[in-house]
Amino acid sequence: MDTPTDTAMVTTLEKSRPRSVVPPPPDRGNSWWGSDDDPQSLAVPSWQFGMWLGLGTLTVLFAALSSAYIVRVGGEPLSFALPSTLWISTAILVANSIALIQARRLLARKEQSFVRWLAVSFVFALGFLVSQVITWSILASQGVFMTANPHSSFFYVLTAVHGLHVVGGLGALLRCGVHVRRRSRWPQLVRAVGMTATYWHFVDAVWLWIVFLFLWTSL
Amino acid sequence: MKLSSRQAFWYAAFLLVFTAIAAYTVANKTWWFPPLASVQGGEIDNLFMITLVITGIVFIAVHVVLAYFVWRYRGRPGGKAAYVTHNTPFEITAAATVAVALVILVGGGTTLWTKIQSPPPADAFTVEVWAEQFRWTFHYPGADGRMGNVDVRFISDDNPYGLDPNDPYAKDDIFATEMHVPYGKPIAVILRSKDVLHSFFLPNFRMKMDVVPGMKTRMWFTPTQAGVFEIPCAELCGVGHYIMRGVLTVESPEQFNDWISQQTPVGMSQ
Amino acid sequence: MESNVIANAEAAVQTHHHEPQSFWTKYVFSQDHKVIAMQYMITALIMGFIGMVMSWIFRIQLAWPDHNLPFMRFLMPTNMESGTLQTPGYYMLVTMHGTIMVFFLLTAILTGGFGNFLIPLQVGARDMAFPFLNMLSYWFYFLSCVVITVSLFVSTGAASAGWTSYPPLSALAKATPGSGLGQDLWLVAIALFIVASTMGSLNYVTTALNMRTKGMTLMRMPLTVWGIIVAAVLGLFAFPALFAGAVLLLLDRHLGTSFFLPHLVLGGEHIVRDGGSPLLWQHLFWFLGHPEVYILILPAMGITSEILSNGARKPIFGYKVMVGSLVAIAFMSFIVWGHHMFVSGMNPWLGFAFVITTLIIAVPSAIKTFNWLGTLWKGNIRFTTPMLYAIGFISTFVTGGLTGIFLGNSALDIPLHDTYFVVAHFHVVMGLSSVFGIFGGIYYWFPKMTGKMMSERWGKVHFWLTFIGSYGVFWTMHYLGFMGMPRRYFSYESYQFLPPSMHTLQIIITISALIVGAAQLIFVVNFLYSWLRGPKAPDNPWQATSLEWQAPTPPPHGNWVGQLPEVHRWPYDYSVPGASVDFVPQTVPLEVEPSGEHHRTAVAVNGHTNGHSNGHHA
Repeated sequence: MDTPTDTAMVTTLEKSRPRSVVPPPPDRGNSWWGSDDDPQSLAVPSWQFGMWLGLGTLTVLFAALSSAYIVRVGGEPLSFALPSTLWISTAILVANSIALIQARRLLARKEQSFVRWLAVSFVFALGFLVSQVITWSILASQGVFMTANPHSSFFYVLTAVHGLHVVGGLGALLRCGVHVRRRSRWPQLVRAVGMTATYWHFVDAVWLWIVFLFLWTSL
Repeated sequence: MKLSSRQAFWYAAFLLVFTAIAAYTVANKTWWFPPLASVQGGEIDNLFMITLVITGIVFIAVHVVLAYFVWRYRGRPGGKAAYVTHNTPFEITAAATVAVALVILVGGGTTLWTKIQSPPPADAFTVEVWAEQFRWTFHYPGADGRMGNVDVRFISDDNPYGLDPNDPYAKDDIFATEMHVPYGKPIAVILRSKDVLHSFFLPNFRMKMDVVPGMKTRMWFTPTQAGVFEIPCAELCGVGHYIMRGVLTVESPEQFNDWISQQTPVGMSQ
Repeated sequence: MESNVIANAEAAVQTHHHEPQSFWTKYVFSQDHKVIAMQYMITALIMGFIGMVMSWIFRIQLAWPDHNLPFMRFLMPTNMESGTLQTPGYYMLVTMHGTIMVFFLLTAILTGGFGNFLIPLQVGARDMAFPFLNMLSYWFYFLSCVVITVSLFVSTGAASAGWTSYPPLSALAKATPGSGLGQDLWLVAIALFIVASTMGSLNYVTTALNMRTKGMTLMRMPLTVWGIIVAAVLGLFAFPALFAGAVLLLLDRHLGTSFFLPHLVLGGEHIVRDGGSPLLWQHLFWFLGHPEVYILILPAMGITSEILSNGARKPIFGYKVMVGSLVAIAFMSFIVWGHHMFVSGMNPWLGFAFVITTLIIAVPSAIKTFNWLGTLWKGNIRFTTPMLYAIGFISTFVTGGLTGIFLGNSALDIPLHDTYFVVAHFHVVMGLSSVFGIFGGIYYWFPKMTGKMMSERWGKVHFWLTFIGSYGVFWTMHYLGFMGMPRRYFSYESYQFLPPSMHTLQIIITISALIVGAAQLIFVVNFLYSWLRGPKAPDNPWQATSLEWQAPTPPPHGNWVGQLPEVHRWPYDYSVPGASVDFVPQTVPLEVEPSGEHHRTAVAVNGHTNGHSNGHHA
């Protein structure tokens, strides 16, 4: 469906102006542009541009929650010790980003082994969720619940909202897996893996920001 | 094209009639502010009038020009529009004119705002207010002349106003369902809410401040006349919002002293 | 039309694209932007109708307190069982009226309806960049409409803490009846709406920036596209703040957190929370709330500019400045939210800063007004129904904009805040003006959407009743604001500072509102009748220049039969000197007709129209 057809389309408009030879249109996230369609466009494909816009929206979501946190606690220092599993979570997510960079690079070189790195990323993501559940249970065992104080409230909210985005990332990885199984063509794989990797880098960056935020308030 | 002329005529006529009615009723003050009773309110009204003149000129000018254009440039058979795309000098002049008018208004507004928001004068008479669904309660110091601390945490059946049991000044404080203040002094008001948001509105004094649970908010003003005034609540606070009416009496210091001496202190002595 | 369908079918076969054939994929779960636009538009109009009926009921209460309306027992069994509106019902109605009108009518129809229909057609794309996401956007919107409608029928009533839903009133079920399940459904509906709006906005922006046809440079896009995508960008970066607020408020309501709640005593009972701030909600709400009003007005400005230029047979005056001021307004709209909170207990010095940013935003707004007047100047105005609305927009936007100058100045806001003056201001400037943009847009693009013409005669009747009636409602409201009448009051009987003449004004307002309401029935009948029985529309009934009018009517799946059109000029080549007709479509090459797009001399000063330079093409 992505293949540009060479068949000229039937036209009933009064006059069709034959265009000089145009290059086939790039895949713009919309599979049904005719061969003669030649959209004026940005330097990036639509899926990538849309992805960035969407991540912009999510950035505002986390910025809103973070600024609400900063305003709400008003300089009062963090009242509980951050569990050390937080560092394990951090390490996992950094490693996850590296795995996805690797996967994308291998895919760009058309090497099959990119699939392995996607699998590694998937395992990391699951590992992160497990580590997060442990973090929460450590806090809960110390009596630091959601309602204990504004710090813990925001800690749970921020990590939970982030956790949901991690779950979303798992979905994106699964979708890449489906493409691999279906033996989708290369451009589609590039697109799927590219979107997934971009998204995951964002999720990982948000995590680093959350960790930084709580380190900052614990000073 | 006949229809075109008719529409143009009625359109222009409507715009002019509307503008005339609007301008007349406002200039005539047919429906206007409640009687003024404070110094700050007078300054606010002055700024209002300046703003009204500036915006009024723009309002009338735009509508008259619009009506004129609608009539003058109505479509005619064989008529042709001019091909005019832009006029940079015009845009710059217009923007600059608007900017100058706004600078005047911002200047006046921020100066007045700073004045109103500055701390009250030292000789101000202070009243504290508790707001709750759906009534106002006014808190005065007792014979010791000092207001006791209050906080929602202390509220109980025996201590409905949340007086601090450890505060010696709280023993003889007075709580009243009406607000009375002596004439001749600036009045400072400290506002607290027990439950939801309320807003302490004094239409005659042109004053308003939200009452926020968990916070103390403040306002101050200087009455210019004695009398009885109303305090409507101006922030939606529940089904009884519209009946949350308070009464403010500004009276001579003697009358005020009479009134306060008749009030029973409801301190912690009970 | 039939030949188009056939041709389109052939084209579809030849491009290997499968045009949806079944009823479900064609009309229900359609991914065609034109079908989604109609779905959005009709759903939004139905919601708007519900919102309007709500306003009739509370307006009747305000004009004739405790008036008995026996038939209302069937519409509102819980709050009007005897036929007389009760207080909780009143607060429920005003809350839901605001919510439905702002989000479910205006936002939805301007971006979801017009954005969907116009962007691909006006930039020359076959469809949206992400058709699947577009379909999802509509269905999330539909779901949010269902949730908000269901909330009207829960036993404790719908949300009634105002459309701003300020906590603690909205946070505690005990505070007011509507803060029970109704408020939860309100928050869920808003969250769903935000998801829908985000998916839509991603599409609008990406499509307009990335899928323009050949020759359609950014500075050749019609102002409608500019207005809609700038509004979409506002939505993308403002709505998440309310989403975050909604999540936190739900947690405060159900998990006992204290984001917005301090320690309270409600009805004699301690509610033990710690140190939360109700102002935090207000900041989050208005960080969305202010850009939101520009989400409503910017597309309406774009539509109005488009219609004014077409109706005056003249290029839009100062195109670049129009684009620039749209962007400037959008940017500024993110840093003015505090002007809703001058007397909220917020730090007064913050108020100081917000006065300055707020009044700066008046400059680009004023420039736009001058440019609309400039567009009419020396025109050859055709008084079509869309044009009547576009001219009306200038009036309402100026009226409402000027009252904003009072409210944006914090010192003047003190007495006016939360009075009818505010209600009048925002209804005129963003309610009426947006609605005028919407109606103008519907009358203007209805032929392209449906292939039928609407009745001009009834359109004009609709316009005049709406225009005069709306000023009867909202201009009159300013006087009540002067009197200091607080908004959101169930009745004003016990207040002496309000003169008796306020009753007369209330009655004038209600009668005007009922007239406006009746006028909308004319619109509904005209809309439906024309769609079914109206005369067939030609491809370009308004003799317009922009791209959508060069597509078949109604446009087939894929919008253009054959190649995509190529654009050679800007969309405002009306009355070009030397051209054979008074409009030159964007698709006409410069060899065929001259263009004035690039002439730079400020000919407007003396009206001397000379220099069109058509020498820049190869």
